[in-house]
Amino acid sequence: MDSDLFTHQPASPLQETPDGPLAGKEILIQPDLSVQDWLTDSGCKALTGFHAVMDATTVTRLKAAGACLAGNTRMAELGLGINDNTMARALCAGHGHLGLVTDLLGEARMTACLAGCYGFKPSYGLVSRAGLVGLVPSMECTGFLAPTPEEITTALGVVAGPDEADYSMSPDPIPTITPTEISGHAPNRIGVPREIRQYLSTSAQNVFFAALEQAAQAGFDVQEIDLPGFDLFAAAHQVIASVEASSSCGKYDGVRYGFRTEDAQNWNEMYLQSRSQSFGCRIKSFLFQGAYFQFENYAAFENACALRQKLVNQLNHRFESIPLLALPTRLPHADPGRADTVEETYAAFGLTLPANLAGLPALCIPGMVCEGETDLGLQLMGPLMTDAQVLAAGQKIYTRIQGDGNK
Amino acid sequence: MDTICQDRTMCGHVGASHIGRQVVLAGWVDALRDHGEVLFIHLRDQSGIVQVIFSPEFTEKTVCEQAGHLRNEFCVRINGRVMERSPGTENPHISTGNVEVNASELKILNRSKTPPFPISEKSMLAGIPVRQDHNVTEDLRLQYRYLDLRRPSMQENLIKRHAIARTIRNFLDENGFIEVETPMLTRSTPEGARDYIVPSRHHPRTFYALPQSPQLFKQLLMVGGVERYYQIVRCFRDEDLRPNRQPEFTQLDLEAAFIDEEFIYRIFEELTTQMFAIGGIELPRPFARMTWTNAMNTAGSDRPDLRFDMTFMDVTDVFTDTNYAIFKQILDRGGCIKGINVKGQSGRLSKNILQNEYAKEIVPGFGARGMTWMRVTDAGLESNIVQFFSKKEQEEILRRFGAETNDVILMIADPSWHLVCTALGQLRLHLARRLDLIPGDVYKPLWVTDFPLFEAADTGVTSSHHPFTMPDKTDFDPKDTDELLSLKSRAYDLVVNGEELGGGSIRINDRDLQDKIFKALGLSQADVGEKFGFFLQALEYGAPPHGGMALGLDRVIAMILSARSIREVIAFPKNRSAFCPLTQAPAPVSREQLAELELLDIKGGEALPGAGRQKDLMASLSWVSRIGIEEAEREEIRTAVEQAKILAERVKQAALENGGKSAEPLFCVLPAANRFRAGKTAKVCQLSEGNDLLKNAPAVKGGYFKVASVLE
Repeated sequence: MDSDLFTHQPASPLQETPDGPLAGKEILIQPDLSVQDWLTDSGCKALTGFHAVMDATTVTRLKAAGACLAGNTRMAELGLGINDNTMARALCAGHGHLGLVTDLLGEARMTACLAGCYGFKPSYGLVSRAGLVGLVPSMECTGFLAPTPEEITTALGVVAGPDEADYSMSPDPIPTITPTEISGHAPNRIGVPREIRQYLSTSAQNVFFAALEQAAQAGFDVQEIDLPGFDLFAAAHQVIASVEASSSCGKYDGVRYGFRTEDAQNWNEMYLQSRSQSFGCRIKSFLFQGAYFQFENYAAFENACALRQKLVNQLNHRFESIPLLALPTRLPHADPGRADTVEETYAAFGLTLPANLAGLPALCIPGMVCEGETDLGLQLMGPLMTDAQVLAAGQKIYTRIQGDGNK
Repeated sequence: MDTICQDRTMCGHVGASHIGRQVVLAGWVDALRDHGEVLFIHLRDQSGIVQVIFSPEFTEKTVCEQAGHLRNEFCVRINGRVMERSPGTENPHISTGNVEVNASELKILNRSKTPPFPISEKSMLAGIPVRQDHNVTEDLRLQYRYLDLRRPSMQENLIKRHAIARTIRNFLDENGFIEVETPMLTRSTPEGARDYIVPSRHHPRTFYALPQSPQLFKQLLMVGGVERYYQIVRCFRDEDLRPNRQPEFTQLDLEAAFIDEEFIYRIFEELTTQMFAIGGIELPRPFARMTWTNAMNTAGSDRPDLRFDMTFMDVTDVFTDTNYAIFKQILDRGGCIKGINVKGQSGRLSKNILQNEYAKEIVPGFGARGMTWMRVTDAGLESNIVQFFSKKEQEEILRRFGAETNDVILMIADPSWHLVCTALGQLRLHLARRLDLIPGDVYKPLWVTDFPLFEAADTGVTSSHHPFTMPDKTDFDPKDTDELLSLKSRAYDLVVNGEELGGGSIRINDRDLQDKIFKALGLSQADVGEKFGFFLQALEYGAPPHGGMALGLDRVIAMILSARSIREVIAFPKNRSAFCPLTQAPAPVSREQLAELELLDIKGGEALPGAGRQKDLMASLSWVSRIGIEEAEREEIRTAVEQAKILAERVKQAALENGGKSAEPLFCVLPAANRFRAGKTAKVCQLSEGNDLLKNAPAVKGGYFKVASVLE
C-alpha cells in the first residue's frame, strides 16, 4: 500500500459487478465517504480507527454501476481545504481514473486544478450525503474529478437523484443525466463579473480573458456583468459554515467511536480532553468561531443567513438573463495546499466558495488559464439544478480544445 | 357573580347518596370521549374525577353544541343530575365509578391551550389500563409545573406532604415543643458547604448568607430559655450537583435543653413512626442501634442498609502466618482482611464475572487495589489464587464464613482499615442490587452512634460533624492529633434502608471546652472571635446542657411516598442542574441593579479593561463547545475569535437591504419540507441488531458503551 497517498487501499479494487455505465472504471475516494469496513476517519483524530459499518448511498450506486473502488486517499482534516490532500497526486500517478472529493469551499475544483483534470461540484441536493462524514451540511457536496466532462456526466448520472436516507434532498425524481441526454443543452451566453478584475494581477487578467476568448470561439457569447456584493460571499460562508461545523462536531464525544483520552476522571474531563486532543489547531479555531456565533452572538449567524438570501437573490437575478457565470477557480497568489489558518484557507478559496454558499453547480476546466506553471482553472457556474447545462457547456469547450489540439 | 360556583359539589365526593339529585360541579376537563351525538367527559377537581355525559336525550341542543367545543383542560362549571351507572358500565379506575352526571348546563369558565404533555391519569373505560408513567422529560414538566401539578399523583404527593407536616406539628406540640422562626438573612454558618450569598445595599460590598441550617440560632434559643424548639425550615447549600439534591431544601430542625440522647431517640422514634404511618408503612420499634465502628466493621458504611445480610467477617487473623505474598505484605504493614459470603450465588457469579468484572473493573473503582474471590464447590474452594492458601487457611475460611456449596466468598485486603471497610461496603451494595437481594417494602430504621469527633486533615484534624458537637470525654490534649482522632462524639444519625434521614448531637455548652475544640481545629483566637464571637459569648451566660437533631424532610417524604426523586414531593423544585425551568432562575440582573449594590467592579482595578472579559470569552467558548485548549494553540484560536467578531460586524452591515431591514434568513438553498416515511411499523436499523454499532467504540462493557462516571 502506498501509505503516503492512501489511508486505505484494498489488495484488489472493490468491484461488485462487471457491468454498468462505469464498468471497470477505477475510482478513488476520500476517507470521509463510508465504504463498509474501510477506515473512514475524515482525516481527523476525532475519528481515529473508525471503520464504516455500511456503504454510503453514493458508494452503493457507484458499485452497482460497475465501478471499481481503488482506495481512500489522504484528505485535509474533516475536509476543510486541501492541506495534505493526496487526491491530485494519486490521480496523476495513475492510481485511479475518477476521483470523488467532498466540496464545501471548492476542494473538488481546486484539486482538479492541481491534477490538471476536470472538476465538478454538483448542485446542492443532487447527490446524496448519506454516509458522508460531513462538516458543513448546508453547503457540502460530493464533487467529481475526471479527465473529461463526459466521464463526470456519466458518474454524476449514476449517483444523482433522491435518496430516502438523505432528508435534505428533494424527493422528486430528476431528469436522466447521461452524455447523450445532455449534449446540445449547452447555453450560449457566459457572464463575467466585472468585480473579478480587482482580484487578479494584470498578467492573470490577461490569461483569464484569453481563455474567455477561446470560449467565444467555441460559440459562446461572453459579456461582462455587474455582480454587486461579490466580496461578501466569503464572510457569509465563513459565519454559517463555522456554526454548522461547530454543531456537526458535537457528535465527536469519544463514546460511540473515535478517539478517547485515557486519563479522564469523569465525564466532563473525558469530553473536554478527548475533544481537545481530537482536533487540529486550524479546525479548532474554526469550531471556536462557530461557538462564538452560536453562543455569544447568534444575531451574527442570522445576519449571515439573511446575507446569504440577499446574495442568492442577486445571483438568481443575474441568471435570469445570463445562464452561465465564469470565474477563475484559483487566485494566483494564494496556495490552497498551504493554508495554515482558517483565514488563509478562506482567502485561498475566495473564488470557489460562492457556488457552495448558493448551492450552484460549478465546473472547473483545466489548462485554459495558466499563469506560468500555475493552472488557475476556468470555472463555469449555472443556476441551481442546471448541472446538465453546465456540463454540456464544459463538453462543448472540451471538444473545441481537443479540436485545437488535433489540428 | 357568574363565575363563582355556589353550592358546588366536589367531583370526587359524588356518590350513591347523590343519585337522582341535581349537582353543580366545577373543574377541568380531564379526558373526553366523543360518541357522535353523545359526549362523555371526565371532570376533575382537587378531590377527584367524575364522569359527565352530554346527550340530546337529556341535554339541550345548545348545551350539546357548546360541549362540542370542549377540549382537555378547559375550566368549566356543569350542572347536572347524578345517575347510577347501568350494570357493566362502571369504571373501577375512579372512586366515583358507579355514578355519572347527566349534564343540563355548561359554562366554559376558561379555555385552555393544548397542554404540552398529557395530564389525565385515569382511563375512561374499564379494562383499559390507567395511564402510568408517561415519557415526558422532567424539564418540560418543571417548565409547566402548574400543569404537572394538576395530575392526580402530584396532587396526592402534595396532600401527603401536608399531612406529614401536620403530623409533625401536632406531635411536637403535644410534647411541649414550640415552633420558632429564625432569620433567612444571616451570616455564614459552619456547615462546611458553600453559602448562597445576598448582597446588601445598605452596607455596600457586604453580604448576608442564606442559612445552611439554623444551628447557631437554635443553640442561642436554648441559651434564651426556649427549652423545646422546633422549626420546619428552609435551608440553603451551594454544593456540587447531585441527581437527588436541591440547592434549597426543607428540614425539621429540633433542639431541647436538659435532655440526653435517649430523649432524642424516644421523640424521633415516635415521630418518624407516625410520619411513615401516613404512607402506610409500619416502622419496627425500637429502632436498632449500632456504633459507627461496628457499622464500618460489618457493613463498611456509616449508613448501613440492614434490609439484607452479607455482613463482613474479619479474617485478618486467619492469615497471620500466610505464605501468600500479597496478604503477607499487607499484614506486615498493619493492614487487615475482611470478606463477605454471597450465599448460594455461584451460579450467577461465574469465574469470568468475578475476575474480569469485579476484580479488574468494579472493585478498583471503589478504591481497593484488588479483590480475592473464591467459589465454594463440593470439592472445596475454587479460585485463581487458592493454591497459595494452606489447607488450614482454606478450612478456616470455610468455617469462618459458614460456607456451603455454591457460596461465593469475596475478600478485600489493604493496609488501610478504612479502605477495606468502604470498598467492601460498596461491593456489598453493588452485589445486593445486582443479585436482587434487597427486599422491597421492608423498612429498617437504625441509629448510628459514637462517631469519631474528628477526621484527619492535611494538617491536623477537622470536625466530622460540626465544632459544637460534644465529645465523649473532655480531658483531652488539643495538640495530640492521635488522641484527638480517637475521640468519639455524642452524635447520632438516623438511617433507614441505607439512607441518612437526619442526624444531630448533644452540644457543647461550656465555653472552655468549646475553646479547646477550636484550638484542636487549629483556629486562631482572632478567627474564632470574628466568626463566632457572638455565640461564644452567649455560652458564658449559663447556657444549659442541650442537644438536638435535624431531619431532611424532602428525603423522608420521598421515602415515605416511594417517590422516584425528591423533586416529586416539592411543588416547585429546581432541576438536576439547580436551574428552575419555570422561572428561568438563576438569571442575570441589570447593570443598574449591580451598580446600586456597587458590585460592578467588585474586584477593584485589578484587571485591565476588557482583559478579564477576553479571558472569560475563551474559557466560556471552550466550555460550551467542550473543547479544551492547549497553550500552544491559544494565540491562534484567540486570533480566530477576534476575526469572528470582525466578521459578525461585517455581515451585520451587509445583511441590511436598501430599506434598512434584513432579508429573511436562508438556512438551506433547497426549500425545507415535511417528510413522512411510508408505512406505519417502526423501522429498526439492521445495524442495531448485531454488534455493529459497538464495534467502533473506544470502550464497551456488556453490550453498552462504557464511559467515565458523570461525577467523581
